[in-house]
Amino acid sequence: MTRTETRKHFKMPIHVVKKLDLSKKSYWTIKVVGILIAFLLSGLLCTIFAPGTFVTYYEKMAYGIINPKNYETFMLFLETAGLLLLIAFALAPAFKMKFWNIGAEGQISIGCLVTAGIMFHMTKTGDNSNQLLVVSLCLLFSVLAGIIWALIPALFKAFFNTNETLFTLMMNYVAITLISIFISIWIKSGSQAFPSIHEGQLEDLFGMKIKYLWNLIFVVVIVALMIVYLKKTKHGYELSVVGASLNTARYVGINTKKVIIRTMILSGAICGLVGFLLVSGHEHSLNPGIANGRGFTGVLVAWLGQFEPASMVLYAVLVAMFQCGSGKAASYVGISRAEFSAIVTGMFFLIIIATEFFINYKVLVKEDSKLKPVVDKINNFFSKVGGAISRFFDKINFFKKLKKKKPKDVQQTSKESEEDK
Amino acid sequence: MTWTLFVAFLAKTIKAASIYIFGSTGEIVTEKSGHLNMGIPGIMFMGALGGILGENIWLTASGNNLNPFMILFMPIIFAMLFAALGGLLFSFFTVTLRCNHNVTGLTLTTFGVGLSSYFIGLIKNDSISKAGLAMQSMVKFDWGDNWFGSIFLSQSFLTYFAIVVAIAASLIISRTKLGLNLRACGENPAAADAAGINVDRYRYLATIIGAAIAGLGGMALELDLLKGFYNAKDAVDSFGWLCLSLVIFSMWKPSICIGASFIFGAAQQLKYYLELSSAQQQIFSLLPYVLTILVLIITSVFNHKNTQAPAGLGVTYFREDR
Repeated sequence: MTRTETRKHFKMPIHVVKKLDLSKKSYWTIKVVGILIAFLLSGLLCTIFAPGTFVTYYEKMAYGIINPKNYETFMLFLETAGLLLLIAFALAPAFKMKFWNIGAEGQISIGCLVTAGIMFHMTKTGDNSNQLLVVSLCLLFSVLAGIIWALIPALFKAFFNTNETLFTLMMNYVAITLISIFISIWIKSGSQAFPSIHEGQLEDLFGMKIKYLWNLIFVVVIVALMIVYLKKTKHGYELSVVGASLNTARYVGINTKKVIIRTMILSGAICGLVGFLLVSGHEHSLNPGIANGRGFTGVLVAWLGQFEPASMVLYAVLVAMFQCGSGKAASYVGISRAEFSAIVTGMFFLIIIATEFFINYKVLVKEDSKLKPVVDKINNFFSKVGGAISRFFDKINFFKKLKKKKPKDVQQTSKESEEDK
Repeated sequence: MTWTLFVAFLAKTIKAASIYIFGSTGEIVTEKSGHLNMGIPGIMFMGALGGILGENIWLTASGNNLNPFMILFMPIIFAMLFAALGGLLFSFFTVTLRCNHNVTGLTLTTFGVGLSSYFIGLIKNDSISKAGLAMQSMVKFDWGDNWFGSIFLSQSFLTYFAIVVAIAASLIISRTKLGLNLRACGENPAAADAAGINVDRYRYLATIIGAAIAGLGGMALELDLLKGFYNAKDAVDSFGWLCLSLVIFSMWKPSICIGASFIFGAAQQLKYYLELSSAQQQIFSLLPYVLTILVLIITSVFNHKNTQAPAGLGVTYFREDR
């Protein structure tokens, strides 16, 4: 211990304290600054990898999201965002009670496997039975499979307090490996390529030929239901109590085991549904990497959105923008597509994670330190940027007031009192 | 399976095990400090990139000089450096910025895998395989034809190095004061802080050193087991997650992890040596995950202190929190 004591002569010039009073406005200001920085950096990264493409990058990125000549680009973008959002909403209740369900990837994969299995066998037997029947069978069984996949870790967590983070993580790879096992069983030729399946495609239902439309309908309906579930029902409230303090929950008579199991059933059901949408409404095929990291990205979206519906929508859309847009831009300027969009998405998340720090903490510089003037300058700069953005927010509020002509003070005080709790 | 095939299988098992040993020892060192670093696949990938770069830099600079020391030294140093950068990034986010471990780790995996596979994609395939061949040609201690020699004495330098690293880590963690302080940071950071241990410094160093060790695993996979044959990101990815599960399997003890790595290595290699259909091959790759889940369940049912994760695992420490 003496060695550590002698080294303590070096004093840290800064001091980190918790922020206790953060207004909604400065919260969003910090977030917007972070997002802008991420956008700028992604363009800079593109110019580093392929010099002189700074402007082209943003131009092509926009084309990757909205292409005037091809409506499918935009639908694909919406669908990417929608599925991410659905996964985030599946995970949000579990995270809210501090159950770290990292297993969305596996729950999606197992849903995909079951759906593809039913569709494949229906195609093979070749009887042109009712499409609606096939689709609803797929839906039912994929949801069931997702539930089972989530229920196993939940039961062990509830009864033996098994570490759910690691358990669900392992379940992911079991599911992914199961896909490869079943592909080799079903496809006798030995190739791992799964044929495109015609029976049970979601687009065929009721003659709606617009791609991904069904997926979007599912997303909108379920997200709306989940918002109501989280915000308005007793279940949603119990979740937050269990998450805030397990002991409090026990004292007020909430059956925590039941809550854990019930929530994970819900979580798994939605993830299984995403698997169904992915196969029946998007890929019409199966491969081990079909979930393609969506489960993990969903974890990030849910956590960074802090389980708030508005923030989760924002992040899901932004991530989809980076995934669709920068992929397109990268392939245009001649950078490998998948890698670049992985880098940009990773960078975006890192920056957003870093903004969490500035939301929760503030850095104070000790008065006697030499760093003081430098930090003051930086602070001044950022407060100018922040001021500009918050003035922009004010303008938006101004328009809202014109429209509604409703006294806002009452709402705000009620919100503040909620936050106090 | 014939005898010669069996010997070849065992030799290959030990080689594969060395990757698991590196990866999981690195992760154990990290987790003992209370950091749950789920970015280990990304970090191993960065190590692989470093190894390839280091070998290539030496081979081009010296004009294909196969000096045995340098051919080992350069990739090892570069792999550790690159992986340590990943560890530094992780600990900067989790210690200094106090971010959530799971989220940072998953992001680091996306970021690290993307970045490394981008740069590995830029390097020509034949120069990667040249680096692999250079590694192969120089590092062996060849000891005759008998079974003992070909299983235990013909391994590459990295394999022995892995075992040495694991034993050293085990001794340091369980026998020294340094290790005691490290475990204190992982079990109860507030108590450790009160006792005068600099928790932040321990966590930083443990994560960076752990990442550097794990990075060697990525390099060993790329240059030693795959012989410089770069087959997409799947290989490193699955090895990385298995290293994470191996930590649970060996109950956070580097000494057990050596033995457990051989089981995982055998499960990974056995499918290439048996005459199996491809479905049966896949079932073998299921084995490590199922075994890990079983260990996870069993250790939690018999809730014993010595087999559990460090109590402060995955919890960011902020002194002013209650």
